[in-house]
Amino acid sequence: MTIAIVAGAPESGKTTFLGALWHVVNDADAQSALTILRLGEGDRTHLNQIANRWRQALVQDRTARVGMHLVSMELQTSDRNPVTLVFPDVPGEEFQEMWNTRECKPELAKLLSSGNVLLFIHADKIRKPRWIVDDIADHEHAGLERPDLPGERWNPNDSPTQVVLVELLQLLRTPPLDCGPRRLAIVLSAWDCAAGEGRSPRAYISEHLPLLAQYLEVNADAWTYHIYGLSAQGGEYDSTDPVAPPKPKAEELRNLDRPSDRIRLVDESTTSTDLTVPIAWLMHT
Amino acid sequence: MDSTTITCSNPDCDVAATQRCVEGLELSLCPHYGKPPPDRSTSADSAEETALTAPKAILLRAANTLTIAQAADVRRARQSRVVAVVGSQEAGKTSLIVSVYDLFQRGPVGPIRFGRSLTMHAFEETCHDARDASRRGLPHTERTQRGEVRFYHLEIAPPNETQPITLLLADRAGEEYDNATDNHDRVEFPEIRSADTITVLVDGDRLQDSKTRHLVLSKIPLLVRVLVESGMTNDRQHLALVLTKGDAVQHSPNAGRALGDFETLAANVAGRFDSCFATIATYRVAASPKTADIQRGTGVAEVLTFWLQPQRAPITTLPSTISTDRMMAELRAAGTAL
Repeated sequence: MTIAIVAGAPESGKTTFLGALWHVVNDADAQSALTILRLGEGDRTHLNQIANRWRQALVQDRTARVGMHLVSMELQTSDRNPVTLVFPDVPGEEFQEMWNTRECKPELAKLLSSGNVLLFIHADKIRKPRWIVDDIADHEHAGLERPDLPGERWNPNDSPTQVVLVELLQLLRTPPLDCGPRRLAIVLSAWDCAAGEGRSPRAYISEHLPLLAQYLEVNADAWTYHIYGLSAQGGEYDSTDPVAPPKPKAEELRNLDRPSDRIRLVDESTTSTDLTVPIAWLMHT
Repeated sequence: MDSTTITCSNPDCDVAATQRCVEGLELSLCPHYGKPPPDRSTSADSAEETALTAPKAILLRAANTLTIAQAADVRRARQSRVVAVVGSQEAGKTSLIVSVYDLFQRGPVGPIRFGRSLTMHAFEETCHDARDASRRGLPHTERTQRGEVRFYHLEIAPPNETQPITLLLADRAGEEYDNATDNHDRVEFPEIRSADTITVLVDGDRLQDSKTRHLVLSKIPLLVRVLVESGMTNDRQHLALVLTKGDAVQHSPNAGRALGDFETLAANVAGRFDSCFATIATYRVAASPKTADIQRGTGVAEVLTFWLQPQRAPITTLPSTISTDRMMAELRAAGTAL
């Protein structure tokens, strides 16, 4: 049995990935590194729900994802080796709370203290640090007056994305969550929004998350890591609100004969539609 | 209930009857398996009792500044450098310390890369008032409160080093250093004793101001003398004199005079205390300027590089007379034996 912790901020693409993954491993036509071995036991309601929303090009319903879901899949590798994968599908708020409060729910701590890590970062939702002097300069350049306010107290929620991510990775290598060296697959989700810059996923992190890039390069916490860019949706999805008008891009995606063709997984040098590759890499010993 | 009864705290799971986890997990991995089921018949009192005894949360490592004891633990575990940043109140001590972390937010500082930090909450909270998220009109750094010295922690990777180096950056309220210049009889600054580098800040804003200029010029040598005469320093430590608030100096009509004063001051300190330190160096910084016409963190990379030096190794000289005597005794003893 292999445990892969699916971590990331709220709306970083974790659940979309799991929905697409459940579709791909069950897709007889998909040329994927991992395929379904058997359905096995247990309740698959959550997996089926999120996979169905993905197939229908509907955004994942955040209200349906309150609380932690443990997702289990019995898969086989291309050389027919069986593997059981367990993914704790944890709301991103839980990881943010770890940064904010320095606490972790006991059941989450138990899960986080074993297994390799699949870390999601939404490539288009990175909160960058911004300094007052730069804002003053921008206002002066635009000929605008900047109000001199008394200021607001620090709120950990305002911390830059890269700070929260670095601390999460540090915590996973610190008691009580540390379990020794682990593999770390970093997935830059919504890669279709980032691909226009023409950077590799690694170069994208260096440009947009430089503190995280330095942390990984120096690697004082001894991660074995790999960075991917992933577009699991393929574009903008429709709202689950039944009266919301359909989006042309979502309709275009639904018209594809093979839903798996929406997927683009970008490595340093290769592009594929196989989003099981990061999981297969995490399992590699 | 006998010892073989299968229990699960998930009310939706019927593992006792089915031998299967409702979540589809191996039983050893299920966080609910083996825990007592919720007892709906339990009285309100005992439910309250359970709620009080069950751990609601696991505490994670704190990320505030380190105490002396915590810093000592870190120092024992890793190759480290202790930096004491010394200066009057509002000289820019905390601004200089946190500017290193803040510069790493945009990339390496010179050739030096960020490795990790145990004090990220403290850094973020202190940096907040210079960030846009604070909604302040001007950048600001909160003054350090009086009390025990606290340490900010950074692990950094200089070029040509195989292992990261830990920096422990000591931050103490400026009033305490100011008071020591009045009376240092019972003053003890452990961060000075353990420092590899003592960094004395010269407040550029006060140096360019005619009203306060001579106060600064007299205070700095006095402060260095207090540290030396109190026996807290040693000649293996490095001393940096850092002119802070480069933006205030640059914008001052007295900029040339202030820079000249700083040079004179540095020469004065070097002349008086040259034999008391391994090296004495001077730097000019604008760690957190209030305007954008001078780059944020100007000069900080150079100071950071200086901080990477360990204390100079003690010079050991062989006590030649004793050696000769001992050698003769050994020769005599050998002759007797023969």
